[in-house]
Amino acid sequence: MRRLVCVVGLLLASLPAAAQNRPPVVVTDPNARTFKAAIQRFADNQAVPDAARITGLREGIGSALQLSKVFEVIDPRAFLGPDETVALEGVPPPLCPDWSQIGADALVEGTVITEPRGLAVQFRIWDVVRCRRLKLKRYFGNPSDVDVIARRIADDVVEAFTGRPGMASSEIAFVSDRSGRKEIYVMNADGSEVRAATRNRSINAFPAWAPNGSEIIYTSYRLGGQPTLFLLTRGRRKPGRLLSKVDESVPIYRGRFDPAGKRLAFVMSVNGAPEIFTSRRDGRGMKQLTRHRAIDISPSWSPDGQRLTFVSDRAGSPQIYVMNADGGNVRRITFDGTYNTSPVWSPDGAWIAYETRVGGQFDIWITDPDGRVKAPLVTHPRSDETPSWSPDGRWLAFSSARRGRNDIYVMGIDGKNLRRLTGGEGNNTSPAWGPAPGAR
Amino acid sequence: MMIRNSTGGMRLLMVAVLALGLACSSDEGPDAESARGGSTGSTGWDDPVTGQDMDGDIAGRGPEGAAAARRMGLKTVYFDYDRSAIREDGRAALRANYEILRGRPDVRVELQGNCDERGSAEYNFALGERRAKAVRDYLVRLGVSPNQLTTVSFGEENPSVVGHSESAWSRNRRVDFAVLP
Repeated sequence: MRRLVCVVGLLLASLPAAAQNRPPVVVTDPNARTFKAAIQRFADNQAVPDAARITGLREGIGSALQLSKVFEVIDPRAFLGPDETVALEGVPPPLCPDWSQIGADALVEGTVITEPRGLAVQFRIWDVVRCRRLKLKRYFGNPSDVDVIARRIADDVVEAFTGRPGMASSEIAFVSDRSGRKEIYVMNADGSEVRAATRNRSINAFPAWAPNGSEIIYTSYRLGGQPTLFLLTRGRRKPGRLLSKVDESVPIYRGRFDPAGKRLAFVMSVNGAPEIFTSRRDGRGMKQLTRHRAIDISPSWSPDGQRLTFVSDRAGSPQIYVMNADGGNVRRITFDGTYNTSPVWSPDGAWIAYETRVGGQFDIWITDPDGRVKAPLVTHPRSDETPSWSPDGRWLAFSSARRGRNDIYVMGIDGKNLRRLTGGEGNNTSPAWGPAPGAR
Repeated sequence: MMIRNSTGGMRLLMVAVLALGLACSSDEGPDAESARGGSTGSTGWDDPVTGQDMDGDIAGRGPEGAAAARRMGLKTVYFDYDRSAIREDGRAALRANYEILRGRPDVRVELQGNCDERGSAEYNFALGERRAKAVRDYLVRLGVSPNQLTTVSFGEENPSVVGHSESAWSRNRRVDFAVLP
């Protein structure tokens, strides 16, 4: 189990406020750029190979690997071994020293198979240092799915070397007002293929994924009265209702599935005071976790499902708290500043990312779940808000107003590789990073 | 992590072995998987339903309620940043609104709480609710029947002025009145 390493976090814990003057980066990822990959041009079983497709596949795998932050891709001009896979069937292992001696850890070789029903890509991943085959696998898709397959292969390469799949083929749900209304959209983790997931022209907010990667829970006013929770299912047109057993006249918002996908945590107002509840999907088995006249909102599960982090202003200003999944053992974990919100638990359980107000704008910080170590992660004179962890825990997605309007950005948890994913169309907010496709 | 636990994955595996008939020289066969993660060819999230144009609508509420409130002279109440306490100008507005509502016991109004765009959208849902409730409680204390009043929060989702400066924000921190049908 890999853990993030907090390099100067302990130092910073004793120096709260005044975040802007300090270096923003304190967390390093020990796995960052540990490996080098050589990717061959794949063989093609057609009589006349599709050169553009073969090139596109190699480039797709390469750029997805590069974005994984775990791999560096070796320029093919440095290859001593063959640039192109001859054909995968019956081929002996590669001559490993030819690859290891140019610095490669991984060799990716494969064959593209065109068949009447579509496209198949079979590939092998080698650890050329130990000269061991780590994976033999085949993907199927439509002829237009070369990019999709390239991302899946790159994620497999990352998994073969680190034990956790890469995130190139995961998706990010978010809210955009690009149509003039706030609707839910889904895009690939590299910002490509933006799809409208709702188009009801009401107000839609707070997307969150089910662990199966095929469902998105969101908050909507589409019934016309109070907001309540709905469920989008991949490939299904109509959204489903959640909490159908619950009174429609009560506002309900911000639902999140537990790690098993069975129970929801959500916010429901009791006599005008928002409280945190959990229940089964249809609202049965409901448990009220908070009972306070203050605001209690923004529940986010720990990855083991045993605890929740949330926001309460019971002490006079919104602050981050942690409690057991039955509502017991409530502990406040932020004490600096007067506005700490949007907590999200990291996939390895070691950290909680949250947004904090600094002066007139917002930065993203992380803390351990006991509140002992705190460190700024994303800082800028303009606001950065609503963090969401990548499934591998190496990245954060967030919304930022650094270009004026809000857009979705991603950044490595080491503070590097900041990239903007949306732009030019409306305000884009509330990112929710979906699980790795291997989980689907 | 393998997808073979799903029946779709199994089927694809069989398709792989049968239709492609590719032999593999190695000790075991390849793992086989649909590139789109078991779904059909599409990316699976496109909402094909095009919503009807309902300009002037707010979250399923037609423009009539707000227009009726304006005709009756019901005033919007404004708030300080991050606060739900009713200011002096708000108390004056609410006393005037009370006089109007007292004469129209047949009219029911929705109090719509709103926030400016700054800060957590989730917290702003709650803050908008708190503002709407503060207005409701104030009107009830003045003597309006609770049965005439309902509340809703739109958080920061329904600004009346688009902009990123205090002049826009100050007009978005508000509770609007809308007459219910």
